[in-house]
Amino acid sequence: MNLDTFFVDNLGINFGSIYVIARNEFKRVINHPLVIIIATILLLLALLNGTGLAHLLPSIEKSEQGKDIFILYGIGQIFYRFSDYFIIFSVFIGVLSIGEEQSKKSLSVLLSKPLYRRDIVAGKFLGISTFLLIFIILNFVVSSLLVMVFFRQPLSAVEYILRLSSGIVSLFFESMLVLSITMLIGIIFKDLLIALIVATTYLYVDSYSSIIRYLGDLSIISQKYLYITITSGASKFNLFDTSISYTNWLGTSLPYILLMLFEILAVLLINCIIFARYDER
Amino acid sequence: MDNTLILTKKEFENLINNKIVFIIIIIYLFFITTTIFDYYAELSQNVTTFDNLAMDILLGIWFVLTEYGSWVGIVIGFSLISNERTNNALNTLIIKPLYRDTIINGKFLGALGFIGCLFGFTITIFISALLIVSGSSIAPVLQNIMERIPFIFALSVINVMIFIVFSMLISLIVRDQAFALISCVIIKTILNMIPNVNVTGNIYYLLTNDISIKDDQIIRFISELSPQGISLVLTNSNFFNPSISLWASINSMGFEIARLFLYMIILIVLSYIVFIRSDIA
Repeated sequence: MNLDTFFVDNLGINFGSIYVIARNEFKRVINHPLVIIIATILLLLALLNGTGLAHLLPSIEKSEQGKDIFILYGIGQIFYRFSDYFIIFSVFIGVLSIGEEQSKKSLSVLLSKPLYRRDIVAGKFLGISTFLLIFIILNFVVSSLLVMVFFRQPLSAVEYILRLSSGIVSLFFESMLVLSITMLIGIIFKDLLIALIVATTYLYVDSYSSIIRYLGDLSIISQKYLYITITSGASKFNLFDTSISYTNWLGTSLPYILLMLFEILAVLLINCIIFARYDER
Repeated sequence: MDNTLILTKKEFENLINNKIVFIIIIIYLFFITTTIFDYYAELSQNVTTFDNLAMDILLGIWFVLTEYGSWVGIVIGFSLISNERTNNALNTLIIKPLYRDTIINGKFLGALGFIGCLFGFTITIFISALLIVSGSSIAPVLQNIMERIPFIFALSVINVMIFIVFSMLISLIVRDQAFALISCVIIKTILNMIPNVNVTGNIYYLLTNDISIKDDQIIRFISELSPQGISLVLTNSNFFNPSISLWASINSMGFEIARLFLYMIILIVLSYIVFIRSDIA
């Protein structure tokens, strides 16, 4: 008995169909015009950022001795400025993943296939997440290379790779959380335009307004709050500050990273449950 | 009754009955409530951070009308075109013996009337709620607030009309209405980002190529390319300070007000051109 048959027979999970759906979703997302728009904005910002920092960083470097300014400001600024665009992308692509298929009636075709509905949700989530990971890596590698071209190289290649990859993973988890929440919005609201309005409001409330503070200690569940807490090491150990040991940052941020992963899984599970009871109209 | 007035009435009624507009207004009212709560929390403390109470309340009203109102404006402008495009009503409307400019005039005036009513209601609610919860603190400065209100009302209507006309324009150009809404949100995010000191600073360094010269006029000019930047300049000036005469405030900020008005006119002209020349079907 091979592994695939074992999972299908005992757990009801068909990795083959999840893989096919994920591959289709990946192809659908890669051809979406939203990708071109966001990629163009990010490229322009990266160029602007690179040239701007080339003027700004030499003067900062004189005043802040003992720190790698390339990582602290060069890489740190890229994350600070560009993260929002990946969140916006995740919000809309999440709503469109189910919502667009609903409005174009292509979801009926998918639902008529011999597939578990949870496999459809899991496949779509994995397909978009894979694209998001590649998109985030490409953007941050290109942006940091531009800072290198216009300013200088990092003092330590190991620190650069370690901190850049940790930042990428944190942002990727944040994007996955947003994606799972907005997929849920897309499933609940059958009218695509209403789903988009609700998703935009969610984006605004969580990312731009200060309303989330009314939740008090519970505001920790907010994706933005979690992301900021992770990258700032709970406001104690900034990920991009090389004068602070990487392990200190990891030790402080790990519980929050695990909380974020737990939230992603919980929302994904809710998505599967609601989509399994989905009433097609 | 004149055709334009008939269409204005129809557009106004359509906006009132629109499900999407209804949802965004509920969200808008929720945001207003949280702002009023913040003011109440601040005023109920023995020592407040408000230096000039009348000015702080006027700034709060301006923020509610322009920041939250701009999102409402995007949805209103989008709904004016989207609703009729989805129902094919726009095709029916343009085959009637009406000039196309009569149709678009009706839409502009309908939106103007709607946003005027909404803002009038917002200001009434805002001031009434503050009088109810903190009457003893507000009463001494009420006259100062009321003197500036008509001007703030007019200016915020112009500010939000920019977003209404802008989203109408996008909805006319982009046929896929979901994509049109997404484009509006992305452009609004970029407009919010432009006044950010990092962005204006980088553009400035790119243009001047000299960090030693810091020309605030150029930075301000870049920042004011966005209505958000103009709003920021207005809030950071003495424009809302009732101890300075209204005429002196208008004189000091005349350029910003003219610029806001100019943006609105440019967008209206563009919308006319697109609507009159476009093939709706």
